[in-house]
Amino acid sequence: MSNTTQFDAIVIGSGITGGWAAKELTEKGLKTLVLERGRNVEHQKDYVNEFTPPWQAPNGGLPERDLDARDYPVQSKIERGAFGWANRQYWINDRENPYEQVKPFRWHRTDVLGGRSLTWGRQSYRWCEDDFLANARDGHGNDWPIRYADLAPWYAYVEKFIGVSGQPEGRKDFPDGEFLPPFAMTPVERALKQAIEAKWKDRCLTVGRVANLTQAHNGRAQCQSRAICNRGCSFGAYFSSLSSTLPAAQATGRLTVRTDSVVEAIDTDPATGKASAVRVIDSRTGERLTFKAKVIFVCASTFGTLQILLQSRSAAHPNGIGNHSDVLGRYLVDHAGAGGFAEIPGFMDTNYKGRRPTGIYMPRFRNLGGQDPDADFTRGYGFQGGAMRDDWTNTAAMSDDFGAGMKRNIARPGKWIAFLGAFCEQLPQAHNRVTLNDKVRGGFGLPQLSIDVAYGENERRMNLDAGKQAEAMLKAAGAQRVQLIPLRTIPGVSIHEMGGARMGRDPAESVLNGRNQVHGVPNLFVTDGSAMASSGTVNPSLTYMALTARAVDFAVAELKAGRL
Amino acid sequence: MTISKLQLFRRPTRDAKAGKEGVSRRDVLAALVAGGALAGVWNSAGAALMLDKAGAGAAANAGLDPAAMAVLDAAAQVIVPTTDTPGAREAGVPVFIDALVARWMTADEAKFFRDGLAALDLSARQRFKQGYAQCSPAQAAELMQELRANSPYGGRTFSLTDRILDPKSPFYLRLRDLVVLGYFISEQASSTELRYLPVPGKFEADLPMKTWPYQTVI
Ligand SMILES: Cc1cc2nc3c(=O)[nH]c(=O)nc-3n(C[C@H](O)[C@H](O)[C@H](O)COP(=O)(O)OP(=O)(O)OC[C@H]3O[C@@H](n4cnc5c(N)ncnc54)[C@H](O)[C@@H]3O)c2cc1C
Ligand code: SF4
Repeated sequence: MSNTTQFDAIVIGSGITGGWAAKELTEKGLKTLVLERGRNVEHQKDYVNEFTPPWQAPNGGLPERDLDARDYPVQSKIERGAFGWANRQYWINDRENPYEQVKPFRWHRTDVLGGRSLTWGRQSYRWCEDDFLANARDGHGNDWPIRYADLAPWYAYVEKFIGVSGQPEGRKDFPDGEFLPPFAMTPVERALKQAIEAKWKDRCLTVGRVANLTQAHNGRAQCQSRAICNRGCSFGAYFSSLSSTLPAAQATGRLTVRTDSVVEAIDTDPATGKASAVRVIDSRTGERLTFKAKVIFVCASTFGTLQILLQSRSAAHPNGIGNHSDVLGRYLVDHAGAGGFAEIPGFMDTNYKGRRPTGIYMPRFRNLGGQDPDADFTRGYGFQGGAMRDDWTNTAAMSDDFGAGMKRNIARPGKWIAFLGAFCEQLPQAHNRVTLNDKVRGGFGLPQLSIDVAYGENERRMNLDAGKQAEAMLKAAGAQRVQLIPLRTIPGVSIHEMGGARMGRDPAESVLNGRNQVHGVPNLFVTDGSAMASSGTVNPSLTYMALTARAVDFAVAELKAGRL
Repeated sequence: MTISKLQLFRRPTRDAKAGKEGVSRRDVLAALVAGGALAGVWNSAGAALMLDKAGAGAAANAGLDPAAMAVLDAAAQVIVPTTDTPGAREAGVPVFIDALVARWMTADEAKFFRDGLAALDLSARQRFKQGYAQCSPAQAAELMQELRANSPYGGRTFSLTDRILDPKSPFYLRLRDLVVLGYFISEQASSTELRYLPVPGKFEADLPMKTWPYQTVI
């Protein structure tokens, strides 16, 4: 590929949003280049540990302490076992790619084609009407330039392609989607649902809506209920760029993918004001290359995108592209949380078979449509959790026994354990921001990204409330004793980092307009989490995908009309 | 149909016997989708295989000497005895732990572990005038019970891995936890005590314990 090759479109990043941009752009007829900093990973072939059984796990699956401390000090601290021997190869090398933590922040990221679509938890929920209204209503953050109705058809469009299993619940504050059949709930989850819904009429407990296929869909196989998804799945049974969007883009014959390509900056043409080229460092050779296109989509993940935009400095954009108002890099948000788990007595004669790759969900019930009289915080949270029988990895540590009795006890399914963990909406605030530290160099000699984000008083109060509610609900279901645990107390841990290039109506207080178009740079679009003006309470990626598909639709129409 | 394809899901190994099955990844996937049997694809190449981390360098520590191995072997069998299912010995647990000592433990941890085995052996010689490995099952269990009673642990309930990683865990727990870990991840335990189901096919949420009294592991 020569570096003068002209493309119709360039997509920066191949993760959840970049894959979608590539699919939509190519399907609409544009010759598209995807630039990905990570190395190439081939669907199926490179899921090297997918079928490694426990007895072949290196060191019995115990952490490689030296390696992790040296090369993965951030990534290895990821929660819920999402990092380990089976998929270490997907995560970024922290030593080679340092960033500055003004306050503790866990930046969890991959360094492979497909981005975090390979390792994500696949929970897929729509935002509701209220989520788009919250900023305007309580004055924290700017008004969203779009409403639920703008996104609803795009949610449907995305769901139909990726395949989301779930149970329709018919609630306005928790919109249903285009669902494949839901996974089944365990008997204790059903009992939990019954107990909670009987006591609190406004609460709803449902099985997790998840981008795992409960039946064959769009040429991909049905989920086999193994729950080892983050190793990669050769069945293509969960949504990832590698299983879904990139093959669709490839099939058009208009896709070019260039991996090992670290985007440094986007140039603008002083004459037209438009984005003219993307500057790249080849991570293997150090070679610097430039690629040109008529339209550019930045999909490098919230912080990856902010880094690129901040690095794109020119006479017209001295503080980074789109940073005319000093909003770029500000109003970062994530989801804080607290949770509780408890033993639920009884049900010892029932069990389950297989490993369900999702849990349960309870949509927000606090401060919905107004302030609850007993709430000392703004906004709310949703719960995720589940009720399963304890397994040997836990029960073995609950005793110090030995002998035949111990062997038998640990091998049998343990007690029923129920867990509820909150995802609390963080308020958008200007002081939570990222900047570039030009004095300290990170990977590829580029300035280090400096992250200065913390939770505040509102998040602290909301966490307390979430803990109390979790306890009350677990008790309602028969738990005698509930153990409350702080979750997601360090920002970044939820891996729902959002904001920094937020959408808005007013260019003075936002970076993007209601079409994810950079104010003043009409052919430059940003459609990942950095576009978010607030965080809502549900997992965000489905919304990023809907925004991406919608923005491409607009961009291509504008291009064809000669306006870009 | 080549070995290199097979190695996509079998780690490279120093064991020349491993990896000879002429099965391609596509065959395996086809079998999996059809719910076909997996035996033959993953028949055990021995416990040591699981420690063969691709690209791992030479052993950090020396492994256990034959005397220490004999104590470990006897102790493992006391902790997870053979019942109607295999015990730690048949599951290759001593070999697994020996390799952990050599490649995974720090030098301090390895010394702590060797010293613990030596002390256990000494207690047998003092009480029963023979090494721990020569003791009767009842004698070996008696000494193990005593070691357990004399091993206070202030930690709370952790996951097994967390407790194995806790530097404050006393020798008894370190030994016991590694035996339990090695046993329950072994191919033998995975197919007798537990049910290793690489491809369950679907999630069945509600089964009577009578028909399915197992933990499904992967
Ligand atoms: C363990 C885990 C569980 C999660 N669970 C869920 C969940 O259940 N539901 C949910 O909605 N979300 C979940 N998430 C979050 C989800 O993964 C992200 O929201 C999503 O991947 C974001 O998509 P993206 O396209 O913005 O970024 P990514 O998917 O991260 O992709 C960004 C891509 O851009 C590339 N890139 C970055 N910088 C550059 C550069 N300078 N040049 C070139 N390329 C670059 C990266 O290498 C990467 O491939 C989870 C994440 C993790 C890690
Ligand atoms: S649980 Fe389903 S999606 Fe996940 S790895 Fe297994 S088959 Fe694939």
